[in-house]
Amino acid sequence: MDLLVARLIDGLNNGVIYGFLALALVCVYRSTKHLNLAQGEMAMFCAFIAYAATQAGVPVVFAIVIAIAAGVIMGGVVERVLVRPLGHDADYSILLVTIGLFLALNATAGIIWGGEPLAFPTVFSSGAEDYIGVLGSRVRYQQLLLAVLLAAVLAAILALFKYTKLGLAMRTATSNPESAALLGIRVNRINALGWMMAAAVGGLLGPLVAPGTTLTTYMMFTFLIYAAAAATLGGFDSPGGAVLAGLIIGVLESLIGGYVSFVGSDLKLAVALVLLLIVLMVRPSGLFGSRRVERV
Amino acid sequence: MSLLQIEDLHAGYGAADIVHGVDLTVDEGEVVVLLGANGAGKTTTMRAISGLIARHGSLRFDGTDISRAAPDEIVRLGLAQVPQGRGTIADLTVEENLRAGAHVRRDKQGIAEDITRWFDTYPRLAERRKQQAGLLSGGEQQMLAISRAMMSRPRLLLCDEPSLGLSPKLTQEMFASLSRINHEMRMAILLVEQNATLALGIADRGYLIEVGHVGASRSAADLAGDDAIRAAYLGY
Repeated sequence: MDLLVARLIDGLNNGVIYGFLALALVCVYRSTKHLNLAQGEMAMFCAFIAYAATQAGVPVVFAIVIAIAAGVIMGGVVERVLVRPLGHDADYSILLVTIGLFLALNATAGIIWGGEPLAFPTVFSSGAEDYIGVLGSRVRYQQLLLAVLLAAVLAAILALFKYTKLGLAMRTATSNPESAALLGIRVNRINALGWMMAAAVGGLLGPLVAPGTTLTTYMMFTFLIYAAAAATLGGFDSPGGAVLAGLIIGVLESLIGGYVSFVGSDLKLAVALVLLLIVLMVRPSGLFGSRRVERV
Repeated sequence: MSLLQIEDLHAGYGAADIVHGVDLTVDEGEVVVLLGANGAGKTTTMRAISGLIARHGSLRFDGTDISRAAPDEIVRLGLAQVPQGRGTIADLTVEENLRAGAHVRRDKQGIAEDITRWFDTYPRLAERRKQQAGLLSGGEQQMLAISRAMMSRPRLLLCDEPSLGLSPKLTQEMFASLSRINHEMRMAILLVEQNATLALGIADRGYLIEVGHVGASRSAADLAGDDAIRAAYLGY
């Protein structure tokens, strides 16, 4: 029983990270219908910027705010300089651009901050006694904070889409860019905003994950794979679906890795992806994605 | 001065111009129809006016030069378009489609009143206000397209083939509806239409566009009485 709870909590902890990054992927997808493969690296770069801020004596919380601001700027610049000039129908070109961006950010971070793992401070103190006991298992404050922030960010994004004029404009621009332009919506700006939102979510995530993974240039590699899986499973246009799918994948991975002996920790990524494949064979648009039905 | 004044419009996609040398005007409160065969450049002209494609020539709306303006600026000046194929925003509900149509406006009260007004005009839309717009029938989507464009409170409404894919009965209703909008709101309308009989029935004037070139403006009655046009576009 204790072991089960421990594995569940372990899975949820990872699932929160997958869901967080998946949320960022969904923000980009909903604005420009692209998969940003550099989303994780942008988050990593923001974490390094937060690190630089803490080194300069800025308290951690403010360093994270700086990272978010850096994310917003980075997202805006990437959309304006690398994505927009390629035009609306350049799907594969933009996919390649995001791979290039992935490599560039990775190399740049390596050049500036070196390849050695760095320690990054947690927001709350994380001594041996700083945890909340849940049925004999430990939930660290930082992990709890990440989960709460994920819920808050998700709620904010859903509210934005559902209740605000800006959210309506964003959904219009995604659903039918040309009609959106004919209604006076500045589609380019809306797209840039989607990239900025996504990068801001990453900018929040990076510095919060860094204490657990240690701060390295490759800290987001596997997270991105799981996040892409979560976004696919949840449905690329559904923020709530992506987060839920992230949690599902985290828990499944932990349980299967723990209880199926031949899977262990080596094969658990493969198992998660096989599950994903099976789900998608039944529901190609993901668990919560909207299937496009249209009468003409 | 005309509300919309176009001189020597050239436009197209990429290298080749499809429209070369279109002149046309639309006055306040007038219904003008642009007739022509498939591929003559009707839709290209409409898309060029709204700024969706590259164009050059002189384009003035209410005296303002719009030849370099972006689509969203043109809408703000009061020129709305119902695009060919209806431009339904499929993932939004019917009511959200109308709200999106009011994007350029800030008067909440007025927007709410206009939504009620268009639901009164088209009760079928009111019945389906919470439904996804992509699930509406063709006729309902066309009603939605006109209402959505009108939500921006335009001074000139561009309608590109409103009859496309509609049954004859629905097409007639659609034209009756456009005619009412013209009369009751004194709305200027520029209409592109293959169904020349019905279009000329509600129009004041018309132009005939042939391979990217437009002839002189003629009265609707004159066009309807022209034997060559009767043979080519009216089918009797």
